[in-house]
Amino acid sequence: MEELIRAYWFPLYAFVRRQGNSPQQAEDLTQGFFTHLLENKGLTTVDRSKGKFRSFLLAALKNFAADQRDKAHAAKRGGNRQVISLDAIEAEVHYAKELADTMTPERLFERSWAIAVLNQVVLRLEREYVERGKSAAFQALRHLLDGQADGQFHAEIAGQLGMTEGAVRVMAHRMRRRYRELLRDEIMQTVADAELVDDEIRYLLQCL
Amino acid sequence: MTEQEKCTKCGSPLPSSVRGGLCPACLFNRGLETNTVGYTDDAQAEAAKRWTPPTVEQLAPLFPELDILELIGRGGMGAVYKACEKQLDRLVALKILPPEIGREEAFAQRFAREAQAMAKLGHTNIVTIHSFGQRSAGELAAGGDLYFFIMEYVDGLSLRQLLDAGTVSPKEALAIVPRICDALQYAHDRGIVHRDIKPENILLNRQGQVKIADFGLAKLVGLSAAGAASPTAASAETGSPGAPGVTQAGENVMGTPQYMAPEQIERPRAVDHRADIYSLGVVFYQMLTGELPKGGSGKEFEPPSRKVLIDVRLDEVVLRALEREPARRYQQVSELRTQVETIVGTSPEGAAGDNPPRKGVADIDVDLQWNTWRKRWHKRIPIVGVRDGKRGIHWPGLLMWLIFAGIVLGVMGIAGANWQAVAVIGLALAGVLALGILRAWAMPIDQLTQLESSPIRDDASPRMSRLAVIGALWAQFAFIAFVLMFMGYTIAAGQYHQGPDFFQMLAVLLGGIGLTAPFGTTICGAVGIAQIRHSAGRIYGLGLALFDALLFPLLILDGLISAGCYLGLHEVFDYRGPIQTVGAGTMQAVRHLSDTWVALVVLAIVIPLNWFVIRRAWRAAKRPAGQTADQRMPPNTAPQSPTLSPADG
Repeated sequence: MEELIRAYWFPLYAFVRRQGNSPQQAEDLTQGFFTHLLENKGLTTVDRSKGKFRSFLLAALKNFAADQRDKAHAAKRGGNRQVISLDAIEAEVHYAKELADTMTPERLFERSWAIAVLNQVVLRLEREYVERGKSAAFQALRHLLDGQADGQFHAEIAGQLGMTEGAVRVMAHRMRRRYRELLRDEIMQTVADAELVDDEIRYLLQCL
Repeated sequence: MTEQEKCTKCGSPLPSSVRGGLCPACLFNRGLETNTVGYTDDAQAEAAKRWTPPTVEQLAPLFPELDILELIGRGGMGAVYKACEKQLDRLVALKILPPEIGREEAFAQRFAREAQAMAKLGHTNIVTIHSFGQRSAGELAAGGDLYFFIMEYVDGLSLRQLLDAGTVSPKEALAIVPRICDALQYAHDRGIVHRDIKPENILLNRQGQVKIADFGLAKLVGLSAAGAASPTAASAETGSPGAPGVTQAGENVMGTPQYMAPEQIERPRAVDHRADIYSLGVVFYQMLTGELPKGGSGKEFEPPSRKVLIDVRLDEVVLRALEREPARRYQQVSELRTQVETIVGTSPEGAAGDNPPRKGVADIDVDLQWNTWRKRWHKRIPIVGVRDGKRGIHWPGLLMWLIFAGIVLGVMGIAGANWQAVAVIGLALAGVLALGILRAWAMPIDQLTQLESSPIRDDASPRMSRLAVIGALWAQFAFIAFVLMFMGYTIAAGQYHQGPDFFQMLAVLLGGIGLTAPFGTTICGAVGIAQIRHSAGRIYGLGLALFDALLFPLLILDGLISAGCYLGLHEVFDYRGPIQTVGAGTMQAVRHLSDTWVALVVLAIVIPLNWFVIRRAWRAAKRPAGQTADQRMPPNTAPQSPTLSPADG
């Protein structure tokens, strides 16, 4: 569960930020939100058969943020009570880079969520390869994942890694396949059942 | 906005937040279940991607009846060669499909069926298929068969090439689109959906004819999920039961996502002919503006009329074609075509850019003693013209004619002609006008002058609000009329005239117009303000319209305040009581003094009041039309969120 939060906190940060909060406020709010979730065990009591985790999280965050404003007191500051280390500076840089000026907070959230999913999957893939001692191969092949660089680099990579071109091709293919499996698995964690995975993927596609 | 790189595969912008510069759209697509293909396993897919089309020499033995001349193109759906049919001595295009496609068992059957349907399409705007089949190709197809089509050769360019070179003007676009519609409607009527309409598939030959290629090829090559791959072979390879082999044959299957209708991506099984309409919409947009409608979740692109000089009615057409819900689009391509043709036909400038020369003119034939007048008026003034395809009165022209008549009569009156003469001349002029109108009305419609076709002008450049100007002029009229009335009264009172006094009549007339000014000007101003606010910048002149709308109300208000103050406060400032004993001269002075006090009070009230009203009105008018209350709230305030519920979709 914590893993999940770590992967998807940026969309929440972006949402809160887009609502008009300063970077500091946004960080506090996000931090506070997670604390709130974990403390109240909100996540474990979610009835997952009823919909998407993503929407649930957004609704919960909205409520939380509204509550915080109502109470008119700042969320718990970082420092001693930090539950998860959030790289706030990196977050702010990302936020600034997003061409997000015309988007509503909700849309920005969904878009960031979609990208966070992809990043998370690539991360998991990387971990698998590293565990098997094949991190060099992964680094060489990772930019082939989306299919933009078709086949042009196989020869180069073969040279780099000391393998034959054929072997490189097979490896790339397996990596892509595994990527797909992981993507579907990651989405599966956030939806109620397997049939909804495709719907969720298509929805996220639109959000980009 | 910073420049964004684009994905070399699907063209969507690359956000910087995805690590490694990967394309999120492509990555997501990879995860979808429904990317089905004609390939039964992934190794083959790899092979297909690497496929180099056979050389001319390699191909020649397979087609003894053709002289294969050169390779003219290759894409995901195969390779195309220019060839000459020896016996008929005619140029043809030979298209061969990638060999891997043929491996699949069911393909041969599908091929025969689909190719036959495709070949039955005979239309001037569709690339005709002359024949099709397969040849055993030995090594070229790894032991299998090579599937091919022999088609009409189009000597020209594809729309893609034209777009890249930047040489498609909106005018040309408007000529091309109806032809595409013809082709699509023809095919749809025969149950064939193209599924892959994009600029690469739209060809233009040297005669300017439009030809659409690859009808139904997308389906044949395996776009639809149903019956594409044999399940057993697939599952053996991928390990996931029942899932057809997902490959990276993106270019075969997906085509270019930018042109695909949303339902083609989301629910491929539910695709029908309306997907072609969407794709046409994208192509149309691109032809008009040179850019793709920005994708993502749709509703963020600018209407074409904002970017190019075209009739705004075309926006509607494009937008409707690009509706996400198929049910909201045009249901038939022919509807789209009719719309476009109507707009082009009824637009004075041909709906795009340059003005064609004005057509013939029907004017008043001033063929009486005033021939000299006619010669002086070199530019003819139309009274009757064509608007929106129907005959209409050209009001400015009519007005000018009436003014002319008025001047003539006035001059006569001044010169001292008696009223009978004036009446006769007046009747004569009226008669001429009536005759002229009748004659013009009877003329064939295409000889009439084209009038403006719509209140919203066709060009995109901003113009001054007409209503505001009319309102301001009307107000001027009021003052002129007031002055004239005054003059008229004094003149009439002091002089003796025979018969109807011309000046009196004039004075009454102008006075009448003047009296209507308070209403007219105010209304013009108010409507003008609304018009400007809703024109999204196309019409300007808010200041003038506001002036119109406020002038008379404020004047009346000020007048009432003055009167009220005078009546009410006069007593307060009346010093007559206590100083009655003083002489008459001082009385005058005192009255002036009290009047001055009253005047000061009035000013003190009126000036701030006017200022306040004007400021409020200006602010209210300046606020962008359609803004909701939410948007005016400070950003930190969030709208009430719904109660927490995981059921939120």
